[in-house]
Amino acid sequence: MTAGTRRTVCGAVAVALLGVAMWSWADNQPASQSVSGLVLAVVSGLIGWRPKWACPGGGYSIALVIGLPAVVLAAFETADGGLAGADQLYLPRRMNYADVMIGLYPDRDGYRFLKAQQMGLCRQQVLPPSGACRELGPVTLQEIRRELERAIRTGVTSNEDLMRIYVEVLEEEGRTEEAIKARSELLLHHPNRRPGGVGPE
Amino acid sequence: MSVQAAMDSGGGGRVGWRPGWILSPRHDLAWFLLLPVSAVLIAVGCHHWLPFVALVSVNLWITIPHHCATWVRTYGLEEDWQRWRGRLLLGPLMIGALAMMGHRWAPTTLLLVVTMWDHQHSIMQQHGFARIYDFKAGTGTPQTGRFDLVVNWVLYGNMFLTAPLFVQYWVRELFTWQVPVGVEAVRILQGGSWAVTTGVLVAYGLHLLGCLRRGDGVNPIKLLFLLASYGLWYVTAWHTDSILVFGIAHRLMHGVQYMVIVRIYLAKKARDSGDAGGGLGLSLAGRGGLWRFVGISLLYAVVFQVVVGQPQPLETFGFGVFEFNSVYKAIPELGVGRFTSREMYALFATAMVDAVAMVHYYFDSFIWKVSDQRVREGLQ
Repeated sequence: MTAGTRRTVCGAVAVALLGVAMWSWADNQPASQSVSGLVLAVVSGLIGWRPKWACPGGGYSIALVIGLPAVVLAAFETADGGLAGADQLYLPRRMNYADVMIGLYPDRDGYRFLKAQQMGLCRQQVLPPSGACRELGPVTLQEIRRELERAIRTGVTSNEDLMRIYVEVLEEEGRTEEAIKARSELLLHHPNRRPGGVGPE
Repeated sequence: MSVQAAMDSGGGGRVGWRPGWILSPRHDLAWFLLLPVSAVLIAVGCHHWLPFVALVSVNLWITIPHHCATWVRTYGLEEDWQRWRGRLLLGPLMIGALAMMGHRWAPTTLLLVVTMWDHQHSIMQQHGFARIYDFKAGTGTPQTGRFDLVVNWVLYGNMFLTAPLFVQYWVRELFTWQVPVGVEAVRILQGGSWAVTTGVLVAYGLHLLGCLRRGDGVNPIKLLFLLASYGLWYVTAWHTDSILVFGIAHRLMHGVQYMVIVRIYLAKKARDSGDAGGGLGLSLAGRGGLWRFVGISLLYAVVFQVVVGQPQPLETFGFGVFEFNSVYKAIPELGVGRFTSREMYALFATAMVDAVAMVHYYFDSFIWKVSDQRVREGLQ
């Protein structure tokens, strides 16, 4: 393909994509659609025009390689309902973050923390009923605590949320002394030390 | 054995195994071969005896000073300043602005971009060292660089896809970005990754055998270096679920090796320039310069920490000139409220951390190309 043909084809594609982006914006379509159209139009323009600064060795090619996909992702993130909330992350049946990690690594108790988070969400019932919650049935505080303690026993408590939720569960259960100990562990944030009184094996 | 001695002992340089060192056997052993092992031990020690803040401390005393080494090299060397002035001026402004906007409107995207760029940057640093090893020993063929690059990407990518420490992060990201995956899909992906890795390693082995047979030479120190680097990454990512252990070991290796190569580069450039100036960076070369280099790096770390870690010192340093409220005026029609100084400071501080790291990644993408004649002169 000659340089002239390339410029013509890429220019036409860029103009068409710009049109799509403008129509999406005027028609109140999701923001991600407009931004994606705009970014693709820019990419098409750059391929056709091939300015020196955007070519390998031109100085800014790496910034473009990283920046352009980032703009598309940012558009998706800023769109309404773009990123998944806790309900989509933890509560669909089987196909959820907690069950996938535990299914992948059943012997690594550190990921039981995710199960505890899932159970906590089901117990609070702050979100609409979901597949995972229906499968778990009624969840008790003791069950959540057991999951957290399995994770704590691995010695990897570098996730601050693990100890924070553990303190909350102990407080809700009325285990004041254990809660105080766990809170002090949380404040010290000592990954290798197990809080005294962590439940039985 | 010096590089020259190694070459000489090789019978005209046309033998199979041809050791070559970045600096000297003693230094390479310390900084490039044994450092990864020490870093793992230190990280495991931190995990056992120190609180999580140890990771932050390593970041402060190693990672932040290694950014300073980039500024010394780029802004402190007259040669680099002359060559890349446009990028050195424009790059930080563009990246800083993007980081501020990212933190304000798309923080998850920004975190993802910084994290992925960090991974790419880590791969490219080890690849760069591998290229220096071949350059120093005069080994390999024009294809060896491409093989090295593929091996680095595939080994690191495989670790990223299969090591539990990383799986927990990318699986979570997929769910967050509404790409739900099941256990089976992840297992298939991981199986594919292992298959590709095995294939690439076999091809790499065959390429090395070809180099040995044809007399192009293979630098065994490069292979030991790659083994040590990937040994650190695989061991810490597979055998612990603690980001503390991985983070400390990785940052120690990455940061210290980077500062060592900058020192080597400055020393060579200082020798070449003699008394002919060459910029502030060259005053940090040589024996006496080591302490100045370390001092400046630590001072930079302290200043950086004070600036992004505490709101009051920044205001104090600025003599009240920094009036964050005036940065953005309220635009009620667009729903943009007036920022309080605390909010503006939080935005500035968090964006600063990411922006500085990204500028470092960006500069490194062009200042260390071993294919560049003037860079090679600095590594001679």
